[in-house]
Amino acid sequence: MDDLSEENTFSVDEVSQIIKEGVETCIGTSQFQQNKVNQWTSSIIEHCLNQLTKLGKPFKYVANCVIMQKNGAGLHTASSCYWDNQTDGSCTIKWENKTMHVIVTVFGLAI
Amino acid sequence: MADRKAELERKKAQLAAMREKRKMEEKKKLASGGDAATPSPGEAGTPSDLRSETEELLKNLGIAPETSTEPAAGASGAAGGPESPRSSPKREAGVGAKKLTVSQVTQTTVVAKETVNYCKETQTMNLEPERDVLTYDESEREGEGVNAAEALAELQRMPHVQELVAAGAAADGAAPVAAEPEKPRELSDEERQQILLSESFVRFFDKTARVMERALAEDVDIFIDYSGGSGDTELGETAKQQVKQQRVFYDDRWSRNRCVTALDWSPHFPELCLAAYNANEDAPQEPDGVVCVWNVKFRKDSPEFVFHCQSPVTSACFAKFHRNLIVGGTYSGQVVLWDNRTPRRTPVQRSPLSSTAHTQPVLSVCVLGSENAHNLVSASSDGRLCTWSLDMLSQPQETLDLQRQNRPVPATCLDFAPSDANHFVVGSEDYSMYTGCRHGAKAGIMDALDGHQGPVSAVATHRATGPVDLGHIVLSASFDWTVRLWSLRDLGTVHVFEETSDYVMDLCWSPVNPALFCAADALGRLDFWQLNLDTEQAAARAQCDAAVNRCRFSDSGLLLGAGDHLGRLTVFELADSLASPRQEEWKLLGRTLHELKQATAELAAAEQDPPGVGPIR
Repeated sequence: MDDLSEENTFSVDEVSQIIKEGVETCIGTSQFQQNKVNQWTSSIIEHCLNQLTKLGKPFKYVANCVIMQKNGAGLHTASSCYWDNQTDGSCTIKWENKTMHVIVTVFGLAI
Repeated sequence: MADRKAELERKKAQLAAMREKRKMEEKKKLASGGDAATPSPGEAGTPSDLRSETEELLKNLGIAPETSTEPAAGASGAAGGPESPRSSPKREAGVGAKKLTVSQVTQTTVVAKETVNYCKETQTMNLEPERDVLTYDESEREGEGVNAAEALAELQRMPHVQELVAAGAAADGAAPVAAEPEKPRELSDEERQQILLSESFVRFFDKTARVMERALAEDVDIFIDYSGGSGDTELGETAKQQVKQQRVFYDDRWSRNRCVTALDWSPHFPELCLAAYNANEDAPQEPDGVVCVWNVKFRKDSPEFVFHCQSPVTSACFAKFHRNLIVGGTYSGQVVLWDNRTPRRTPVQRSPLSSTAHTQPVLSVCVLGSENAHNLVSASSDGRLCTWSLDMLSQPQETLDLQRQNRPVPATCLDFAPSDANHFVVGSEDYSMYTGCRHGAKAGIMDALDGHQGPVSAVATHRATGPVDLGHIVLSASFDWTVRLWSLRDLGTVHVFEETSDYVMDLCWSPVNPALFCAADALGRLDFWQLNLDTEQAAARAQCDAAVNRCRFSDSGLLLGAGDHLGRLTVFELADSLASPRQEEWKLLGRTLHELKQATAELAAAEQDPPGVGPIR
């Protein structure tokens, strides 16, 4: 079936790689700065989507980015979807440095 | 703005031109009777082409294309946004019925930092408030005016605050007392040292320390009750004991491990006696020669004065006509002079170490003569007798070498006849005694007295003065365990005392009792001989713990000082019956001596005759 071909499934590894790259490129070694957070989130998402679309797969993507300053507070998020498990998928990457947590989630929905 | 307008015009013109071109093409196509199909896609295409073209043109102008179709998100996103969905190939919808299910929940957690907090409570003890709260209500007081008495009374109602009250009241009340007495300034270490070393302080301290020591050492029983009956039994006891040990003088620093080499009582202050000490081998950094002046009158344990010099002191005496001077003869041959008026402990005068003076240990020093014309005479163990003036010890006034048969006399002791500055008796190591005189044609050794079988350790000429002149009686002690009594008139032994069982180190006549003398031996025994009582046995005996090196009667005759080889100076008190002469003492003594002489002569005669030949009388 076409659905099960390589082209038509959400490749978690690929996507996670893309996300990691994206975060590292945009934030790298910066420390948390309130005035730059805006920039960072946009650039991360942009980078991710660009790379994802370059893959050329017939997918719809949704990218979500959260940057949280390390202040001792706790955070908990959860998500769930109603989709076709075979073709669709999501990928969440948690990245952190000394001053902040970065959580990027990408959902890919087969067209 | 102007060129923009120009551009706009240009673009408009271009647009118009293009429109016209298209129209012409259309007309051509219509004319040529083209397919209906092509224009539709063409038409469909041309409007879209047209649209994209216009859009491009507009974009070049900087006018953003219609915003309604663009997402409102960030600026950079605008260009990329519309392209991607368009470029992606359109998938035809409705491929087939997809099976949709709920996916797993993806969770993300960031752990919160755990802060530890704890709660601790402390509660003060709930005591009964003892005091009323003292309220300082300024307004109240001001109204009343400050009434010291009233305030005091009020404050005094609270007992615990009383001490503060006293201070406070005193300060506030009557006299301000010059605010606060000036706080004494703290002296720095340097200043302290300066003061401590200044002469006036040293002098003051010396004197007052002495006074304080005496005061503190006294243990007079102020509670004594003379009407009580407990003291009567003691008399009987003392009657028996002829010689009682009164005190022991010993200083831990200066007397330890030092042998007493000389002993003398002060002619000016009967309670002072001096002791000269040898070197302390265990303490090489301490001065070798020490002289301590002890005080018998007070109970304190430390010496009145301490003098020292670099060489061990072998003989010492009080300067008879100077109450402040002490003369010492040392092991090195120097004669030194100490003065107790100055605070310094080293000699104020010293004789030189030259061949004109002594080069061997000085074994005797004494001051002879009268008050106006006196000299210091010193004798050393190489037989040299030097006469000095007390003012000038830089060189002797006279020197006399005692020689016997052209050999120097190895002297060990020297004594002058009382009230005779000319004649003396000297004991030597070659077992004999010599008489000599200082001045005159035959200055030097006159006669020899042989008899001892060991080196003579001490000679003593008779001291007591009385109706009979007994200046010719001389006692000698020797290492052959005997004490001999000589008469200088006939140059012979009067009697031999053979009671001792060890070296006899020293002996001394009593200055008041003509028949009493004391002999000290190396076992620490002190034998008191009373010639009128018994010539074969000592009248009294006392024991010291160590070998006695020197013994001397005090000028009163009631005390005897004995110095031993461990540095202790023991003072014995003699019973009156022993020490004081009876009325007929002198007469008795004359008779005793005569008897002794006779006995000795007989003994000598008996010895000379071969035994058994003639009858022994």
